Amino acid sequence: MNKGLKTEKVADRVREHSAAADNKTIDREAEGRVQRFAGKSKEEITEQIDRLEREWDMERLLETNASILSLAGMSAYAGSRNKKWLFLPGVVMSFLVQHSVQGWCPPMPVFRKLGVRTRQEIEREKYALKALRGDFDGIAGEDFAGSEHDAEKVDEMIEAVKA
Amino acid sequence: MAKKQNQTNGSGDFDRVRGYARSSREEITARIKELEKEWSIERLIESEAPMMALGGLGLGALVNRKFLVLPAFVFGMVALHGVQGWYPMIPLFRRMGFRSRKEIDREKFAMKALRGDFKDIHGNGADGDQSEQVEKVFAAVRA
Repeated sequence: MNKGLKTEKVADRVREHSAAADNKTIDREAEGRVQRFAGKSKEEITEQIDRLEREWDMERLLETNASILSLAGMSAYAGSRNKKWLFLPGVVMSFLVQHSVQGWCPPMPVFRKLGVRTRQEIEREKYALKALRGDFDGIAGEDFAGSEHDAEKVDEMIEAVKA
Repeated sequence: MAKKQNQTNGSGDFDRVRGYARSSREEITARIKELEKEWSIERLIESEAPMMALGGLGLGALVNRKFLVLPAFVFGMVALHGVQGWYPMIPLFRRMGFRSRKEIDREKFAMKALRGDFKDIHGNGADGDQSEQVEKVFAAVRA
């Protein structure tokens, strides 16, 4: 069965609190991108990996969004001396704590709809591309778990992950 | 740039991976689950910064508005972290052992490779059905 990148096994609070349809769209888009890079050159894959490294993830976007909204509230207060403006940073910051603890906050569904991903989702796509680039070829045949093997093999494997 | 400086070379992380070199699949899987649940630096900041800011907001609104300097400073720093990756508490958090999600996932994928998730996978240029190969790659990274 073709399951693609869809997963419930990985603990990811943002995915758990997202609409199934949004998760699916995000997975399908990532799969399509990976499929397009099957058969591409190492250089093209490396460029795509660099793009993924720079992609803004959900945490980064929420942090930036919340702090800018809060700063706007503070500026409005400084200009008007109306204490009601302080509710804006108060509410926004409460949502950020909620997100940290629980994995959900009100702006999150909107960002998910726009295709914003968690760092774990981005990393999955990245390691899929690394596998396509052949990073894991040398170590591929090895089943390390529970086996007697030399330390060099493990070092090679670690280099493959770091590359 | 700042983000780069804040990242460790991960040598300690990989020493931990080496320590699992002769462990069973079950032990490796248990460790992978642990890594997925590990609190990242990003998540820690999302808890720590708002708490400080809310404290300052409360004091500023009820006691003396000079306290509002604290939340304003915190918001500025969080915005800086979002945009640029630098945050004043990061050196302290790192000393406490917190890592970015990227670093945690790097250790996780090393553990997956150790478990054998990437065996039978060949990169581009290998013979065989390409779509089958891609499907194998998906199976390796999603578990």
